Amino acid sequence: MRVERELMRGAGPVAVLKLLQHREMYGYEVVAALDTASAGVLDMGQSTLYPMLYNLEAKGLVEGAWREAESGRERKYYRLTAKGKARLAEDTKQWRALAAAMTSLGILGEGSKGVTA
Amino acid sequence: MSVRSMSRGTTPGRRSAAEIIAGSGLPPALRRLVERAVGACRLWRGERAEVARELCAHFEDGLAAGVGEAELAEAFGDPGRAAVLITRARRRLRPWWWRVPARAVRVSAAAVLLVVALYLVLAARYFAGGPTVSRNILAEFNQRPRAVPQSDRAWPVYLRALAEFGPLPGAPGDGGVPAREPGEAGWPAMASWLRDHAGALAMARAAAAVPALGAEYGVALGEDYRAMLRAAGRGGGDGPAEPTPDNPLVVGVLLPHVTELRRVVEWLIADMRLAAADGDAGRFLADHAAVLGVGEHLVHEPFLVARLAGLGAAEAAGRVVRASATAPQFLADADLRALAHRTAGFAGGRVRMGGGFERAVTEDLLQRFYSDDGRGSGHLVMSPALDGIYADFGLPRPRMLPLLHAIRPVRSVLGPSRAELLRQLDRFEERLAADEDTPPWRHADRSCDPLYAQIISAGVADLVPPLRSLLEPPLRSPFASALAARDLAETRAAVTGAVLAAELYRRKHGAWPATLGALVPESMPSAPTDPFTGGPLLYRVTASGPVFYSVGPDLVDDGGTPPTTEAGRRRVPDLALLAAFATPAQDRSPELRASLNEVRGDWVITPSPW
Repeated sequence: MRVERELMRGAGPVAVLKLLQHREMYGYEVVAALDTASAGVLDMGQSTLYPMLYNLEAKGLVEGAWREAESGRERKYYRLTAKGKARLAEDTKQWRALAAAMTSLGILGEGSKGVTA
Repeated sequence: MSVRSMSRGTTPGRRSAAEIIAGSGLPPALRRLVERAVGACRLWRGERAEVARELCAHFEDGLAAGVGEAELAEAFGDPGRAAVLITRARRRLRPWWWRVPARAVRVSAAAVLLVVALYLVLAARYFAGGPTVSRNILAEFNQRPRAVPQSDRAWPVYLRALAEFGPLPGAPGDGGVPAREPGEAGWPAMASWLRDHAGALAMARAAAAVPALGAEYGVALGEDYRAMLRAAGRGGGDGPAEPTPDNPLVVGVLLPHVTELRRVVEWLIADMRLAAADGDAGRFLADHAAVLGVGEHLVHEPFLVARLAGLGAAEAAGRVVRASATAPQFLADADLRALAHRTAGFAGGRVRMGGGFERAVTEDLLQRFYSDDGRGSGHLVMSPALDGIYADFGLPRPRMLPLLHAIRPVRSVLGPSRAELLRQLDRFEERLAADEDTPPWRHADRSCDPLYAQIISAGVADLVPPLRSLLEPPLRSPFASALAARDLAETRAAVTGAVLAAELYRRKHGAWPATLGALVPESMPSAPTDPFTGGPLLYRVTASGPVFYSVGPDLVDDGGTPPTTEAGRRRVPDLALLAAFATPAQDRSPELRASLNEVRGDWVITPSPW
């Protein structure tokens, strides 16, 4: 299932920040990790990933650097900045509060099985 | 690209995007996809190279992960949309010195577009509406004179008198201004002119005795008036008659009768003086009655200027009476009493300065320049009257006219509505009515002028310069000045009565009354009031006779000494007194304040110090 664009606009950046929390990643790796980790739910069009990364970079939440990989090819690796970490912490709190509210409404949790399937 | 970004490896060096794509190991289909995405990006050369480098790396990584070409292309999505999003995002990465001006340009452009759009909406509102001219206010003004039968109208008789007077008097060499009183250089010539025109003076007296003036108003000279000019040989009545529009702007009304009646008053006053010099009491009284009759005609006109002229006529007659009342063996007791009664009865004792003309003018302008929403309101709209207004008033079109036209749609919204202007007009009239009854010694409380100025500046007059010049009175406080002039005229009239009563007292008792109180109530209902203090007018008997005076604007009793200046005892004209009287202290100009500071003395009403 693909998520509506409006929902993705809110969820995409925080998902990318979360992926970069523990290690740096290059663009294709981010796409693949999102797809795998979200079982395809957060599989965004790849053309929208790079604008999202550039926006996060413009906000100072991530920074990218070109480096040669073991394969010999050059890749641009993105990693979280201190500002990005703070934003991730804040966004995580908000998403948890939102999830709790959605759960109490029966949108998430027991009554939502049919919805997320 | 900066050295710093080069060192961080964020640049592909000097290679272009095309070179990077061509140099990649991507299959042709994916290369074309990258070319389309990068080619559509509206970015700097280095930025496009950077994007190309990253997209090439992306697809190479995908292929290396075992994903097929077609699947990668499909997962990437629309390259055109990608280009739009990438362009927008990459520009946010640009340095501040590019982003700030770029944002300013975008914001400014948006603001300009917004303003233009807003202006177009306002212009549509301004041009779409139209005024509804439903009233002919000049015709409404003319209802009153037209209701008077031709045979009962004074104006045609005045015109016959004026025709008989012929060319205006005035000896060559004295500037064409006739002498007004004995002692002036041209007086013999003037006296001769008056004697030569005894018939015309008699006709003027006859006209003044007709109760109603009956002069109709127009924006062009009437044929009857032009015929008089021709008959009198005064010029100005020749040539084709000016066209008379059906429903002209009432603000352009001509008042030739006011000018002509002032002339008639001047000649009658001169004849009063001549009669006094001749010892002809009968003619003196007849001229006096005629001057007051002309004055009555004028003060019953709906225009401020006519009412002021009427007050001036009565005062001119009073001045001659005050100067002549004590002349030996001239006026009989009965004559003095008759003069006193006439003086006290002029205009019923009080001339109201508000004549309704201000409302008529404002309502006329509103119906011509404002829309009418049917509920008493409306807004400024494009009016056909605007096109001809400069030609109508014989004025050159100002250079700024296009600008004035252009700002009207905006002023139409920002300026007051028709209803608001009418409310302002109501407030002005209420205040004027209150000011009329404010006693002269509290003249500073009079406050209708700022309300009138507000109407003038807030309404169409502000946008149509010819109207502004017509509506804006020459004085800063026209109504306070007019009321002050009326107060001074009332004081002078009261003094005229007191002078006549004092003369009667002297004839009866052989001496002047010691106080004005001695004349009350036998000869006067009350003693005159000093308009500057509200207390009794001051009175002093001197060796040469009684002096009637007010403390004047300095509020100091100088014993009846006329106002002088410290620098050379220059005479201070009545105008300065009037200006002081009409202008609240806080509004006095530096020049007026300086001239008043010089004034030391009283306002001596009689005997005239000049």
